[in-house]
Amino acid sequence: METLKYVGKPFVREDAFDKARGKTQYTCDRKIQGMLYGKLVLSEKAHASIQICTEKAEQVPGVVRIFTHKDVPEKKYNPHNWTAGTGVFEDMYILSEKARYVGDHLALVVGETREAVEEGAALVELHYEEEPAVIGYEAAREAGDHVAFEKEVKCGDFEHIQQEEVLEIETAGSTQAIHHGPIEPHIALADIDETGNLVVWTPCQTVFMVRYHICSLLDLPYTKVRVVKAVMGGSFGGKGLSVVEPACAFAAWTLRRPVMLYMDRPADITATRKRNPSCMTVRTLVTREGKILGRYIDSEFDGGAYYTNASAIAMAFSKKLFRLYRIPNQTVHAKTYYTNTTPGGSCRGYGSPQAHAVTEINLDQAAKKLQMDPCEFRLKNVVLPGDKDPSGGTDLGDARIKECILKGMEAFDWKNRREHIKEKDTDRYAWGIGMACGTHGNGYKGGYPDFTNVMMQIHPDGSAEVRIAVHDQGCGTVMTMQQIAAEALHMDVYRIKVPEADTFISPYDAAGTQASRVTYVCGRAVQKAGEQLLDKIKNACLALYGWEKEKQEALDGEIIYQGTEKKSYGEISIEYEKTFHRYLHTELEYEPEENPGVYCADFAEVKIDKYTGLVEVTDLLAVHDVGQCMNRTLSEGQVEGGAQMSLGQALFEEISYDKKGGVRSQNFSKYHMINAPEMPEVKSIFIENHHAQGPYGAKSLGEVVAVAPAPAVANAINFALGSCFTDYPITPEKIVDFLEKQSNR
Amino acid sequence: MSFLIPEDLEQLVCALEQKDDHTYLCAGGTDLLIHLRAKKKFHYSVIDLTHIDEIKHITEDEDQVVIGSGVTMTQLEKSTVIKKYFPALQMAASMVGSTQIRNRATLGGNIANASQSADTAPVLFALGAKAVVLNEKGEKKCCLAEDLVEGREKNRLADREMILEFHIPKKEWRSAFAKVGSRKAVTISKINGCIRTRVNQGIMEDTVVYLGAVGVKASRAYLIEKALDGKKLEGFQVQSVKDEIYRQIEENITDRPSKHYKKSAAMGIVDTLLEELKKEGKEG
Amino acid sequence: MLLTCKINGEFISREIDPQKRLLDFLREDMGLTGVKEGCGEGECGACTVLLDNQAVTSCTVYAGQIMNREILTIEGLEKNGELHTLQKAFIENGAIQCGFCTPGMIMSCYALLQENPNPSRQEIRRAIEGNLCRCTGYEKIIKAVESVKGERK
Repeated sequence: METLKYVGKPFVREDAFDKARGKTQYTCDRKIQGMLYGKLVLSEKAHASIQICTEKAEQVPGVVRIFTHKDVPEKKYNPHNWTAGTGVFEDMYILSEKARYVGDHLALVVGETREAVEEGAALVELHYEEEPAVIGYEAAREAGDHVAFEKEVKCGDFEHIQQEEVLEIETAGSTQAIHHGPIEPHIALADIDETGNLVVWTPCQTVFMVRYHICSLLDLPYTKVRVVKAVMGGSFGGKGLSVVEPACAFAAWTLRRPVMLYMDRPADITATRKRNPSCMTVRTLVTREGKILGRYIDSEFDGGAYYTNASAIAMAFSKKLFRLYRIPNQTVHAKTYYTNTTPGGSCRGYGSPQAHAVTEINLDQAAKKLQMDPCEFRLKNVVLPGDKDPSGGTDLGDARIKECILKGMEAFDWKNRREHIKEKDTDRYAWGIGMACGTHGNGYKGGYPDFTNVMMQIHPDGSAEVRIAVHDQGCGTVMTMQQIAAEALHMDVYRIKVPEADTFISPYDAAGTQASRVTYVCGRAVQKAGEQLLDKIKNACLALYGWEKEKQEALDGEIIYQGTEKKSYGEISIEYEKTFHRYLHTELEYEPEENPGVYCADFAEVKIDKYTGLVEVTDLLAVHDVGQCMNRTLSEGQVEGGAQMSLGQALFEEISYDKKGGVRSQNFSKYHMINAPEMPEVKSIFIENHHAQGPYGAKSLGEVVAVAPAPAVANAINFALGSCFTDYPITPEKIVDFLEKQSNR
Repeated sequence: MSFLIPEDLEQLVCALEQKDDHTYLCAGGTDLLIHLRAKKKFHYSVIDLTHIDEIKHITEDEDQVVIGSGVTMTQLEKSTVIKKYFPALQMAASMVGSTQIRNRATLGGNIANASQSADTAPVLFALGAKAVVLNEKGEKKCCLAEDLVEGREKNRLADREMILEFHIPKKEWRSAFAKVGSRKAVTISKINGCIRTRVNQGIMEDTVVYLGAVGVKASRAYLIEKALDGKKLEGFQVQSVKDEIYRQIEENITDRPSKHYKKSAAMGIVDTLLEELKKEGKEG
Repeated sequence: MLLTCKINGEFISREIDPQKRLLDFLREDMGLTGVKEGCGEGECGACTVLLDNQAVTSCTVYAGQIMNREILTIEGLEKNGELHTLQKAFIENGAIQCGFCTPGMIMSCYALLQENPNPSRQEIRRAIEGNLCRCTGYEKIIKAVESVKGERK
């Protein structure tokens, strides 16, 4: 591999400048002449037929219109379907005809000012006729007809494993409902442009998906709806499915005026999407020597009140389980239920945080039973580079989980600390260390259509423009694309412009910012387009100046011929256009050939207050197999931010429902995301082994970072206390309860 | 609907005189604004209390410290007078909400809101703080701060009364505060507590213990007090009073499922409090 | 109500609705949209501004309460087009991802540095305990503040 000049370097992202000044215009900061505000009226009951009285609300000065179910198109959609061909069951209206969860969208108040809308929304009277609500797995199982999806994925034959001296380790556990927690709540702005097109600005992850939903619901041609990805104040999957866009577009189209539909935090927590809770039983069979023979996983998911991702979450979860360890016989049974709670949706890691949360604890229990070190046990079983997916998924590629574990053990001083950590224990505090592994994918290849298009051109001023439908969620996608293009074109990162997705401008992209596909798929497309364009530049030089291609060298935005003569890309562009009546421009459609895994091993140290049950994560090391870091600073930022989310899963975060489906944690005072005093300093190690098919060797990172810290912490707690916590979050109450029971024994 | 900004006590009395059922007194606003928005109240009047300098000072005379009701948590945390005489109050103030909240939230507001988990309440009660209350006629009356609190977000102030200041007697006390919430910082107390005691030749005397969030309001923990009073502070082990602590919580919240957790958490509270008291001896 | 106050160094005198939240007043009336709303209950800190040099959540303050007071928002940090050292440090250290928490975060750090030019890591953590960030895990933010330690204004 030749040395990289742009990729991997800690370039400062350009958008940071205005963000630091408070000048960046997020959707909420925009104002359009004549703009109205819109706010959804949400159900307070989990399951009820409703009657809506809008009379009082309509009298509030400034309220323009109140929409209810009877006003919206009699057409259902599934916000999870990202293309017209996805074809998953549709059961959601723009505004619901009955309440199916606390937060269900029942009415939309539109008015001239926020004050009017707030007051109007408060005065909309909802009369409920309550019906029994199905809350939690138990109720869903009993209800009988609440299964939304069920499937089994398998390899080998778990039921008929023939071997003597087999140990079986069974672990039952669960993960909780999680709020994505972007600081910017959901919002969209819609207007009708000068030629009558409906334009929607939204901080979304897939403009083509939003367009599809709006066109389908409002019965408008694709050519008349322009969806523009707005600056996004974080998503983490929360803005991955359409949420407010259809209602916003509908209101603007109906009223023929611009409408900004905004949500507040309680709405964002209750009335958007959530990470699907899961519960499962894991049975693992191992030999005395520590080889895994087989595993059976029986899992259930809470899908919420609408279908959304009922099938996708179960499948995403199941498939990950075949890609981390060599397990010859494995069956994963997955079932998703309808319940009267917030619908499920994409959430950073899509299935992986659930898949590894309990299985990694199960492996620690296995190691304990075998009296083996948990790392050594895993090392005997992890997949190796070149392995196949035994369930028929795409090949794992250059899977470097073994290196992740070994590097981590060394850097964390694992063996020594594991042996001596308990010496720090006092009457009040218990200490422990633990580790866990995780895997995730690189796109949809093998499951769904995954391809993208790039248009790239060099302008006469020597700048380059890369048109590809990317959506920067805040993680620095645009900078990543700039760096890849810079590497391919051999030119200044900052002279490359990568406008974000806009259905009127961007060439089509099959799946948007989902499934950890952007760096690996879109990035590779940009690399290839860049190489293609550079070749065109060189051909232009051959045609214009008679420079033999082999003797041309591209450097810093110039072509240097035989080390002496040179022309800038700008000059070439001008002369090429003048002479040949063509622009320096290229187009490319790209579909990856494979979808390898990315891997991580996380190591955590915890200090537990045995009286209060509070857990402090005192150290965290994350080792990631990334192929190649795109940008050291951004990569570390992903690891640190992912850890914040995963540690929250381990210890604090939970959208908790009462028996009737009421949401207890409607705001950040009750929904605790990890704040600065609680956050350990996270150390990152990257294994950079250059994956052949990734852009300059890179693989995905942004999702896998949120997978392993949680089980690593759980394993550390269990090591510290001799406990077996398997239900997330591991709250102070659970810890105290365990210790009390233990001391009473 | 009016928004009054009295700048001295005279103007305040006038404002109180006009106060009706739809008028709210607003000091820091850290609870009030959120509360009114959650209740979806849109039309009401406000009397702002942040522009009255007279209630924003901490002063001391020979035998007491006077703290204006408009003194913020940040002021309490930074005051050398408070640190010197009432370390518990300094600790409690420093653990309320976040930096931004402490810069606005006032001592008067913390007591008048009467939340069962108010962090300054067990401290003021343990220190025997008195409150001076002002009414719409300009009359002042004095009572124990503890008596102003009914609990569960209810105070015993009349409609047109407000807390003007707190008087805390200066004594040879050591004091400490501790709390346990769902996380380290920016957290609502699941349980909090304050001890004040006189350490005489190493022995805890005149010990008073208050616990908060284990009842409708912070209340005296007699069983724990009794177990501690007369004991030597140095080397005292919280495990030796485990039974009393557990019994105290059982007595306070018999019917609450949260009692199981709070019993153990109270051990943590008492342990931390004792450690703090020991430290104070070394510093002082 | 006629409000007189100082915002980002300029004296203001204008008719306002005193019952608006300071947050809404700054965003809607003054056009200072760098002030962000993330939760509306003083928990996330995105709306942090300085009121008489102290960090406050502007969603828990009435606009009327800033009468004769001084407000500093993110927009008031740069001088003559030159960014404040702290803003530059945020940019250079990768402390900014989605950027929605950034203005509030910077204001909390600014308030800290005004009072304590040499904060420890613990003190920095405490100063931003009321500012939630979902993107960064806070580490790069802490590094940014550490990098300007000792410098003032």
